[in-house]
Amino acid sequence: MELIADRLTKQYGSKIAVDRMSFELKKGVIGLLGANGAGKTTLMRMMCGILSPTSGELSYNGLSVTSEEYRNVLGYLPQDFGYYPEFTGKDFLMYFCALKGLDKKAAKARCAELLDLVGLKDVAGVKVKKYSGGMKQRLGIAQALINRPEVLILDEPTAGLDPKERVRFRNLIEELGKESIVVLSTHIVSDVEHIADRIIMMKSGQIIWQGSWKESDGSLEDFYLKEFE
Amino acid sequence: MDIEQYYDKIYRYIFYKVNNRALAEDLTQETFLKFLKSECEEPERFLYTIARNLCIDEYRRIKPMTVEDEEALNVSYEFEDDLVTRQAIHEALERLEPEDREMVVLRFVNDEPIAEIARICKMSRFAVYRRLKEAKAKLKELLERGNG
Amino acid sequence: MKDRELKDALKAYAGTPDPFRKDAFIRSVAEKEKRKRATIPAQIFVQARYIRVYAWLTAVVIVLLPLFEASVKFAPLFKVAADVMPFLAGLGVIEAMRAEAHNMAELEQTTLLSAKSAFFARMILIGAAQFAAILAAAALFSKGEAGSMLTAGINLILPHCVTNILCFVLERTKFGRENVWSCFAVAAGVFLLKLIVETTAASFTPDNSLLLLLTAVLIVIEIVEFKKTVNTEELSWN
Repeated sequence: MELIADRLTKQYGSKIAVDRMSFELKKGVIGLLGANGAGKTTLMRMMCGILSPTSGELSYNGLSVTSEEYRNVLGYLPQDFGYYPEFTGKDFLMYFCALKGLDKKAAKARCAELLDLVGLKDVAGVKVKKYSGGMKQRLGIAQALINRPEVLILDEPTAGLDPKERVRFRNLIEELGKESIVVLSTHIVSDVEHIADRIIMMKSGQIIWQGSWKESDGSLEDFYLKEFE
Repeated sequence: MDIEQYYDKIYRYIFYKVNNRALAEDLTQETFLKFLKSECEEPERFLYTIARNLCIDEYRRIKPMTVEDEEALNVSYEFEDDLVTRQAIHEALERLEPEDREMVVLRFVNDEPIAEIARICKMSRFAVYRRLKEAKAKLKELLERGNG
Repeated sequence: MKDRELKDALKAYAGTPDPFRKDAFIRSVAEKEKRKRATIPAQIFVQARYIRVYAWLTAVVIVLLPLFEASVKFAPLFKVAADVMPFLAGLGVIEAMRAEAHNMAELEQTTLLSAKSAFFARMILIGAAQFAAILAAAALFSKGEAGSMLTAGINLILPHCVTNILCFVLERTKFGRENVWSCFAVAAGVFLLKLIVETTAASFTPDNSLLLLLTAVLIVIEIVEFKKTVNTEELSWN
């Protein structure tokens, strides 16, 4: 289980969003820290195979990130996502179960299980447009987990969650990190400080620091703020 | 065969036999491993058969309920007016015949169709129907009395 | 005690297995099982369930129009059919672009079945339904007579084709993606263009072979533009 980026670059016109990034990710939780506009989303979209890099390579266990086999083990939560207005929470999950290749009976079982896991069981039949921000975000996380991903990519997953939901979410991520590669981007240090096995700090499309942060290294928050002043 | 579809059903089926979470999980996974080796075409019935046999093998080794399980029994669930405790459900189920208990689990917990239950239990559909009706009435009576 | 309550109580008693152990187990076993394959037909099958009824109905209405004429001898109905063609095409593209309009396309693209084929599948389905409807309508309007069937078919397909091409081009722009309803403006534009051509060139009737050639060229352009739109990458950046 290894996701490898080699001198990955993405350029939009004259703007360089991601600049020659190289890293090797193994099983565990990886926190991608950086201010808005640092290139986190662009990087994550490339990791999902929906944006092709201008130059450089990205592969998972030797598979291209644009391959079917990779998509079969990928879970993705974008920074922002929508839904058909007529969808209930359950409809939404059933749709993505179908797209992820589950047959109807398996999809039903998986939906029930996921709705329970993210605490949306009681509102499964309610239209998504009536959901609060936090509920919608939990639905997005459930969607990403449908195919039991080996690579889970979460773009700003804690946005919109209330403090209680955040704690619940962190526990979930920690558990998932034991079996998969979980990459989560955030600009809030406390989201990843205690659960990330590894931190990658990004600024203007480049890695400015990466490694595992230990208590003995002092406050990650202070370090982060210093770097971004 | 899609494990996704049957995993929880088999887990619950076993849980009602062994009354222990961790053990039920172990046996569930063993059931699927055995099933996958067998390359059988008819998952539903065969899965239940494997699970049942594994439970019988395990039966002699099952110890009386642990303290942890006893504590878990005191968690209660609210249903509109009634307050049914896990303890009450456990006791009521204990008072059913093992065969009836099995049918109740298959029908009311796993929502299996009567025809399928008849095949799993090797009984006529009519017999299943009749015994389920009786078992249901008995369970309700026990639970209502227990809480009334 | 109701049956429902008994069931719920029994289900709650068993609870659910530990999700993470289950996860690890299913994943370890799934590797040994056959991997699912993603195919375009599978995607088309899924999308067919999610295209709204009205999209199919609009195609059906086109087929129904000539049936009316047969019974009430209301000749201008063919002109009506030709006039609504741009709008039919526009609606089709709007329906196919629904996931994009509702910001769901990014999620669709990371699923097993589709890299970019969700939009492709929806457009193929709607396009095929509309195309079949147009052919059926042309045959019914001309009562099966080969010569007038060709003329009727060309008259219906041309505006449909032009609208689709322009819509595809529009949907590749950021504006188009964010304002899917603008396809309707395109349709209105083609409708006006059609009116202008019809009034200014009323006396000029080109022969069928020329029109047939034009239609063929437009269909080729339509396919090329469709492919380009399917392959567009989202260009937004923070």
